[in-house]
Amino acid sequence: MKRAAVVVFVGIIVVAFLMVFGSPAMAKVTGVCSNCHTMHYSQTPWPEWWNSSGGPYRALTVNDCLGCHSANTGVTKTLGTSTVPVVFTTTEPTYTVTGLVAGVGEVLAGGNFYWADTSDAKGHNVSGIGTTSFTEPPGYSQATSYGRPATWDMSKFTCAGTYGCHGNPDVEDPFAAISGAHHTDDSCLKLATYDDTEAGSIVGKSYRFLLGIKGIEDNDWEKTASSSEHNVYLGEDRTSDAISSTHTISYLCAECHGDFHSGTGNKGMDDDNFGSPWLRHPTDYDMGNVQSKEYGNYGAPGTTDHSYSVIAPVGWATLSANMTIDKVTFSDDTIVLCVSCHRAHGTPNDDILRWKYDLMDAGSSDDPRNEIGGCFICHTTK
Amino acid sequence: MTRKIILFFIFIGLIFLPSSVFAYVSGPCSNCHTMHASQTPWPDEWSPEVEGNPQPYLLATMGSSPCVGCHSSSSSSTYYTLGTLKVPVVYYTGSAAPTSYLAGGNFWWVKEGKGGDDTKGHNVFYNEGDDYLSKAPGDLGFSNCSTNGCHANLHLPATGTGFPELENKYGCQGCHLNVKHHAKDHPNGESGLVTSADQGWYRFLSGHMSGNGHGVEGYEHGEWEAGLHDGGDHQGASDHNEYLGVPDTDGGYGFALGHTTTAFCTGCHGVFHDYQYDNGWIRHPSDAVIPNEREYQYVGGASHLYDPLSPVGKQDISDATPDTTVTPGSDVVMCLSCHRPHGSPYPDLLRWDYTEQIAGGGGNDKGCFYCHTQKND
Repeated sequence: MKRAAVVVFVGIIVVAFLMVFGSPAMAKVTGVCSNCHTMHYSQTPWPEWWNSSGGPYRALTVNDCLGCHSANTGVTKTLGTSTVPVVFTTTEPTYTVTGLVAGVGEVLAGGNFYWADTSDAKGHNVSGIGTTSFTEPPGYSQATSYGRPATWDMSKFTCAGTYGCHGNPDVEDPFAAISGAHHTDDSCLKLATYDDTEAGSIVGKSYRFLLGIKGIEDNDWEKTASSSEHNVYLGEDRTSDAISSTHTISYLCAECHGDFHSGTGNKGMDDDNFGSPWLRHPTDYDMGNVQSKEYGNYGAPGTTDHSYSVIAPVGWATLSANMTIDKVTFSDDTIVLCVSCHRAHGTPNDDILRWKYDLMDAGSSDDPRNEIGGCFICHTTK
Repeated sequence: MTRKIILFFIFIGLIFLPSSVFAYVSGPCSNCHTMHASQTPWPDEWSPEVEGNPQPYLLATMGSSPCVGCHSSSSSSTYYTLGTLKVPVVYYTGSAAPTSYLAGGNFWWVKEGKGGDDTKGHNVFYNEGDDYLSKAPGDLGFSNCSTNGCHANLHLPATGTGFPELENKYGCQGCHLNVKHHAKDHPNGESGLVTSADQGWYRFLSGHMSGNGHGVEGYEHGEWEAGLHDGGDHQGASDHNEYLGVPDTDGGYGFALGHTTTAFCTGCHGVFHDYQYDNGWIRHPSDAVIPNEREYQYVGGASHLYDPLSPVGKQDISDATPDTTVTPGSDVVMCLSCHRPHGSPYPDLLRWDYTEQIAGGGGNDKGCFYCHTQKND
């Protein structure tokens, strides 16, 4: 029975094609303009580091989104004096699917689009990466309630804008959608200087340029990550299937995958009640509500003090400067998120899961949180 | 008696009129011309290469082209005095790079044996082809015109152009098509507004073919902005060139865009103007109004001081008085806002070192950051 419950529980997660953005960070850009811009794309000679074709590009950049944020290998790259997060590599990244790793430190928090090019189920197929059988995002029926177009055009699916995740969804063009964001002072999104009033106010001051979303950005996009060094996501402890705060990371995912997040009837987390047994895996729901159950054992493997786990991140209901981020108290700081299970860009696992679902074997361990990880970081006794 | 006194003063006035109104190049013809290149003895101030080697326009000096002889100097990189004339220097022949130069820059950086970097100037010197380019960047297709046409290169005489006035021209005359040193514009060494063919157009920049009869209008600074190459302390001063700017970013090229310097540049570099916008800027705008919003509203700082290092175009220059301020919402960005046409110490003939433009670096509001006022914050 326990095994069946796990299968149902996590199966719901698998179906949920949630895009969550934990990462490709773009803090305020510093460095020489020529790192990213050319005033004349026809410039001759062409600097080596402008590995580009197909231009000129809008905003006079030397490349498009993926062009700048891709590399043969690695999780970051250097452009002049700037460090650029890499979200797409041409060679397969290392991603350990067994043991207590789940890609932490091997890819950035958002994962890597490499796998989207290998399998439809392993990444968001933006900008022509790979192919997809979907004609619209899974769970898209409530899109207009979330400010997205009534009809999706998969041929336009890209990184930013109306048919993307980053930038202003009211603007279709991806360059225009994030215009100015890279040059915006985003100190309001940093742990030491977080400002909840400013956070989410404009694209450049939104978590990872996801307009309206609040969060605290890890400085290296979780290139290195631990309980005390990680992104901090905003969540909400909902008490119904109503749409959550428009500032949570899960709300961002729900803009396209709304049915997995909210709605009446056979939509959202539950049907009539809002609690176990769930109809879909809860998101924007605090595990503190069920602390007395197995969820009260949440914590990073190898710890007993409820240290935050970068394998299965959780969210906070309120964010503040210099807040405590290394441990949770089960009081609006253990909120289940879409990104608790998924990476936004891509992983080697189906459904862009952080871990390999096939390895989640209920009853195979007396201490699965410390021995298996994955689902069992929360489902600690399954 | 009164009538005689009036006539006397009118007579006196007419005597002085030419020097104050119709002055242009003045002084002994022998400053520049010799009627016979075989003249003996040959004056020291004339080029020895001309002796026995008659030159176009009967010039007595020469360099690699008729222009370079007079407009080069080993002692000054801005201007020198020839008799009573001030002569602008566009090619400094000293061994070290010039530390000061005119608004148009200096060819030192592109000249082989000097700077020798083809990315830093227009290749006007004879037989010194560009190491990288086979035609003008941004060419709209005119580079196929004739043999060695000016749209392709500037280092060899053009032939087969179909335009007698262009035949065998090259170098400086690729841009300064119709040089008129004796046009009636304004006194040598003094500033003045130039708006017509009779005045020779601004810096002798005029068109041919569809641009025939048209040229660049502008206010010429009498000393060609000597000493202002880095802006110096002239932010907010009025002694500078003033360029005409006509907002037009809808495409096209040539003087159909207006009698602006940018329109002239598009004659060879039209793509950079013709295809600037594609649901967003894909090339840096030129002849576009500096927005009075976002960071651009702060152009020139709180007082909007005009900076000769980052010039802008003015939509109305008819008052013949250079503005001391820049006006967002009205003034336009031009090709010359960023480039010097002759040459500069920097790649792409830029007015500043692009590799020193540091986003988020906290530097001063110079160069790119004159307009992009918050990118350096």
